[in-house]
Amino acid sequence: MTSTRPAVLLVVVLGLMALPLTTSNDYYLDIIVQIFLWGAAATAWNLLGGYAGQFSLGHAAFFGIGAYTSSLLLTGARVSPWLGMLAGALLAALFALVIGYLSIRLRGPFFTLSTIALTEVLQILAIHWRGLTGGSEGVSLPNAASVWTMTFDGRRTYAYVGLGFLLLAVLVSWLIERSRWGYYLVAIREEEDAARSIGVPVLGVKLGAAALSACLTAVVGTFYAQYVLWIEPAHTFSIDISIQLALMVIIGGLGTLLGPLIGAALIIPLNMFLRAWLGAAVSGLYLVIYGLVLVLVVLYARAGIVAEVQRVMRRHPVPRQSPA
Amino acid sequence: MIFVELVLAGLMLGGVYALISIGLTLIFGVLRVVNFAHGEMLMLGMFAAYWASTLGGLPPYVTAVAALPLFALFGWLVYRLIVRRTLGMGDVVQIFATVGVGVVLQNAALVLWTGDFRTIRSGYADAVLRVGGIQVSVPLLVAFAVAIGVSGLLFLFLNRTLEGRAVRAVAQDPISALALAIDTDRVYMRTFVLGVCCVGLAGVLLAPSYPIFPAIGLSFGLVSYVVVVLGGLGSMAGALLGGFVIGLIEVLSGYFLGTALKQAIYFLIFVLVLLVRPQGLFGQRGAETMGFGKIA
Amino acid sequence: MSGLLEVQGVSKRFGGLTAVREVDFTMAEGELVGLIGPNGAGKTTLFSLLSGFLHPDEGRIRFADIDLDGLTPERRCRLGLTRTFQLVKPFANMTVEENVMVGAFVRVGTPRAARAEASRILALTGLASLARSRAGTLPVEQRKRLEVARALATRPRLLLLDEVFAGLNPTEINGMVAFLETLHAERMTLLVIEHVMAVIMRVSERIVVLHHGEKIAEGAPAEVVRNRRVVDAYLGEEFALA
Repeated sequence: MTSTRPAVLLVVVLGLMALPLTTSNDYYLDIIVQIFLWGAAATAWNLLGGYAGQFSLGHAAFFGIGAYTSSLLLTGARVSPWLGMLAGALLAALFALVIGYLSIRLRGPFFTLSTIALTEVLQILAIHWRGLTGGSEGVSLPNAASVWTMTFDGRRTYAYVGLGFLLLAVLVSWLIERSRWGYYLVAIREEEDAARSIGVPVLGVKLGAAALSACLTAVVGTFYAQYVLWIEPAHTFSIDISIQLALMVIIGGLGTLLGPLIGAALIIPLNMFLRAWLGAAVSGLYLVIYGLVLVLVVLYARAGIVAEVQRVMRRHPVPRQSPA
Repeated sequence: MIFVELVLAGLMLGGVYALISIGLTLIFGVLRVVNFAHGEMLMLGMFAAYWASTLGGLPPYVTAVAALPLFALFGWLVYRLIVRRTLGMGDVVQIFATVGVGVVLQNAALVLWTGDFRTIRSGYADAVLRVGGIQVSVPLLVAFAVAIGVSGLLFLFLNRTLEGRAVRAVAQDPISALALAIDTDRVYMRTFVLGVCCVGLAGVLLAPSYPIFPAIGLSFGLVSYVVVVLGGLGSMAGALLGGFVIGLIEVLSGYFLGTALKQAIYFLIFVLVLLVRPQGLFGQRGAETMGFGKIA
Repeated sequence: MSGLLEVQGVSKRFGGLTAVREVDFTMAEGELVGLIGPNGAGKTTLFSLLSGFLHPDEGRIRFADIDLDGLTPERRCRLGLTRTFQLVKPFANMTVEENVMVGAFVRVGTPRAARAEASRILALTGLASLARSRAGTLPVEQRKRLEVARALATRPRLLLLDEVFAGLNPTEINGMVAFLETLHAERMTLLVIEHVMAVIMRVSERIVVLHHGEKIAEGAPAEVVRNRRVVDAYLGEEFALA
């Protein structure tokens, strides 16, 4: 629960800003962009999953809402994705509020189930509402580089934009961590009934966390759309995205500020490496490995890699910073 | 006449859904674990039937029996290596351990057998019973009969045998059960294996009637969760009745509204149940919030 | 004259079992009332009804002239009714200080103010030296104190204490008794469930006795101890009365 020290954060931020400068290779820059992108989304997921302890496997829904809203507004009404992003965030928040209100009494796995169900429905809607979403063919986005359409020439620029989103998510998490809301979130995660008995407004806090998490995820969804320039339901509303976000945060450390980023920094390169090594033919194999990693981490290192490393380091005296 | 056929088809399908869901509700009722890999286990059962038919020429109803030891072994392994370590360990562990298993199973199947749709080509698969102008698919009829039979057997087991009562005792109050010298670990293990066998069996029986591919676990899995929530977590009767209701709704809505919106209907039902009667038809009030259920 | 707490004809059933049956009693501001009864008498159920975790099937509960029907536990806490749990529920991954801060937040808005309030309460409850310790690492007695401290941070008008003495050794019991008496001296209204009879007799002004969900006796400790029905109810239980 103790807030991350500003000094540590500063060092990390500086390091991240320097990172895109270390290479000109498109392949590596792509990895960097993806780390920032998924790190941001994972940080958003962490608000609800890590701090509040509500494990959603439906965040692909918010991701997809963000991606589709801005993309459809761009292709259909020439609205800048920067604005479309805000619309997507709003929609996602509304959606989260409705679903959250319905699921509010559900605890643990039942909440997770309902989030899975909702993503499925959105995916189906996206596929079948062809008039709106273009169905399975998806939506293609214009390639012309222009700041106004959030499209850039070089991957390095994308990296810095992505970094901006990442820093936004981390900043929001940091502010919450140190505020009353942050304390409430953790209290609810730890002992919801006790929290209620001492006046924590559980409904409001959970809904707020859900809405905020949804907003941020949707924003990242827009950025994703503008990066890959083509979105379609099968991938964008896929439960694989939801699972990947959870996996990153669990590996990095649930409820910690930098855990999600660390998880992303571990998973994304692993992902790319496995794909290159195993080849596109065995497209499922890296997911098999994901699944195994997930099971192993959750059974044997559930506080996350960060915490495990800290535990090992505690055998040697180190300046103290307690994990969440 | 069409209506009668639809209702019959709905009931047949409902029986299948019930069979799938019985395993899920049994595991939840006793172990308090939601098996997020349930759909994937069904998928494995379907593939078992496919390979037995394609490689060995075995008809599904033979595979149903022959594969049971395999399912039992599989269930035992999953329990001992994974599920057992999740008991009492909190939400993160319980949810993501089985989610991880599901991911592994689905993608292992993808790697091994590719995403191609496969179907069982056999006379049995296409067999149809004609009664007074109404057509009923034989495989579905068999699945229906088995669903009823299995439910009945489980009911007898849980209520009339000593072992079954031990299971119910553990489901209601594990600590007291321990005090009564009931080996709760063994009960958990056997219940989990039983649940896995049920869903594997369901897969085998379903295989003739559906295309078989790795991702099919996801949609069936989702249905089984809806059935279990509708019927009441931990309730056998609920799984049976819930299955029928969902089966009927699916067939009828498929006919009148088209297949596209079929799945959206599930979600609607899911939401309605949560709003109006969260404990489901037969569940105990609070099961979905506190995670308690009564085996009945 | 209306009391701070008015319980009128409250009943609660679970399936075929009546856990609480038409219980009536009132409490005036500043009283320290003990709630006793054999195991399964319905004491904790009554607490859950008072605090809003359960809804009564019949009857009314009024607190400070407000009908509590339909109000959530959070809301009741804001009104001044706070409960503790028999099986204590510390926020294990937060420090002792942070635990208490969560309670303080119902009255103050900023972390700084909450921290100040928490320090005050920790000093009061003798937990100051443990402020930075993780709550999950505390032994039983400190956990119980933390549970009370956290509840105190909400500045309750009525505090429901559920078996705060269970599992404590005699020295610790004395400490807790002294503490309760301090609270009582400061005009906090207390309703205390307790099994350790020696303590409850010492501490309470008045005692309410439940048995099988019904109130079978009410009065000063000395009277209640002599009550035939009370003695019968406890026969067969491992108790030393007084």
